[in-house]
Amino acid sequence: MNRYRSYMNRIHAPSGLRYRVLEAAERGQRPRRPARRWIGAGALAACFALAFFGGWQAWRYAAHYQPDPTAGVADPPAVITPAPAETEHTLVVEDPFDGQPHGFFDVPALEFADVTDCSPYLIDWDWKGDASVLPLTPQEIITVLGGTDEVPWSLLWSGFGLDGTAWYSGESLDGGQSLMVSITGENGDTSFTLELSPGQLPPGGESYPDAAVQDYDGVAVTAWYTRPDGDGGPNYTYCVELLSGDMGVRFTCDSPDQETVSWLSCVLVRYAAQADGGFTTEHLTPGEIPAAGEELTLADVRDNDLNSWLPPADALPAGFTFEGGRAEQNWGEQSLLSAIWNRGEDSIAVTVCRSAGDGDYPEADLALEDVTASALQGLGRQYAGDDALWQWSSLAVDWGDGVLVEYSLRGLTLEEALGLILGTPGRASTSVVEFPATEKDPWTVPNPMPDPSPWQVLPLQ
Amino acid sequence: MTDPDRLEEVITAYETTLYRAALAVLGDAHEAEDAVQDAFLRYWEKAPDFPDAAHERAWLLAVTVNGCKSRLRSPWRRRTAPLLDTYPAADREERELLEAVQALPPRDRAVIHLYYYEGYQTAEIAAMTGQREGTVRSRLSRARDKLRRLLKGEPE
Repeated sequence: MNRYRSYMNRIHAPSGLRYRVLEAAERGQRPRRPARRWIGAGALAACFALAFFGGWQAWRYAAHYQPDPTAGVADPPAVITPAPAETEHTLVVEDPFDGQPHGFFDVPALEFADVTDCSPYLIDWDWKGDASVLPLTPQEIITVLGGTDEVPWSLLWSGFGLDGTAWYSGESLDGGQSLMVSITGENGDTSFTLELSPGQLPPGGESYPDAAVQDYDGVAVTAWYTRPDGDGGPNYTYCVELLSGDMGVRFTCDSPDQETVSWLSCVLVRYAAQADGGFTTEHLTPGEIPAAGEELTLADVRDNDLNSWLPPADALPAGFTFEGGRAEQNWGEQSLLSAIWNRGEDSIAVTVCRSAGDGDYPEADLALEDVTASALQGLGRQYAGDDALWQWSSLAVDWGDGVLVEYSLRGLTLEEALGLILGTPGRASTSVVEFPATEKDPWTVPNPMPDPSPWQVLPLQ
Repeated sequence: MTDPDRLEEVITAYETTLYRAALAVLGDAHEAEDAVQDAFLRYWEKAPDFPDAAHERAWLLAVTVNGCKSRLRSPWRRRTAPLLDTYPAADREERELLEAVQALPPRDRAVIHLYYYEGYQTAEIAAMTGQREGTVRSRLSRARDKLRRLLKGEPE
């Protein structure tokens, strides 16, 4: 990577960057509060999964990682989608014994191979065909785990907050089958991920050839663990994999307490390997799979119910042409309509979100009645060194009645931006023509988060 | 709020470091500049205390990288100034390598940059980016393998 380093060494921050930051600070602008992004199902299903699990992972590790007691590192950097450890879980497992000691004696004593210093095989994978992802309800989680009214006590998960996600084949209501279920649990410093796949081991990103394989009650169990390796990570990670009947199971558990994580893993194996029950995904049906986002023409955009909250044509500054639009439905709770207009390097991107309930909803920067030129000035930055032109990377305005509109604007004057948001025709140029997209491809999500690579096993040395 | 003089010192000390990281992840000069400005403004607002410069630098890099990731999730991100077209001329081999790195997923690019250019260990990268350390190691291995295939040999 010497060439990478030598090239990067020749790159320097643009001149003027420091002055723009200092100027913004002097004007008393507050940093942009990153809005949580809405991610639709369908084409972006993998992104949601990545964000969902990455988010839980991020907060779990960010909260627990303590490289140095004297570090005094400030708040963990903001990450868009994750929730803190104290966020409500879908389900919290109660102790059916009310604190009374209980246990059992036939928990297997598994051998876990120490793979801390080993190199894993990396496995690239992806679903064959379309797949959709949906969160699990509390009852679905209980049923997947083999319970009826509560999580089976023999998993010893009392106190854990659980969340679950299921992947289904296809994007339609017909024939969608469960591909994989993932249930995460968190209780203080201890956390786990349970992955279940009907008929095969859950697809995974890494595999250790040095993992211990042993027989437990006629079931082959693969087990490995990693130690805190001295670089500052405090957790032991234990992993068990087995194929029990028709169910592939992978359980990965992390904790600074080795005894706890080892015990939970062994208990899990005991539970999963039992012949008369255990885990099941048979009951899961996709139900209403939200349709993937739909790409729209200008006419479609203007016909959409949410068009009322988009800037009217005569509120657009001169020279902007329509580039594309998109409509999405998130989990049945949110309706989204997005549209983008361009004028060379300048851009206007507007997303209207109408929420039916308490959906995932970014905080508004401003209420509609508070939108003024000075308020916009405080939230924006000057653009391209031109005192008259401004940019707003993300400006969320609460229009009330469950509607939030997010604006991403670049290259507009304050008056133009104000006129655009408030839809006041008199403030904008009158020489506006909305041109539909021309020979350009319809708008697609540029540079989306990458889907997992196509399924193939890539053993690496 | 951070003292303005202190803010200027921090910008002077770290603007290029953050800018390089943002470019590595975003591959777009304008987007990278925005991401770096956001990181400094966040520093200005939070006014965090650090025991030493190393922690301060790590915090700023983490904020920048995570800010880049959030930008990548935006449906409105457009590539307006491709890195390789607007930056110092790269020789043929550098260009091949840079194109190969840019072909990696953004999270892999972030890990590659933090590991190979900034010299952070996997545990540090994991803490900065909110990933498991095993995941960081996997990304590194996968990225190296992809670069090896794209470049038909070990990247120099």
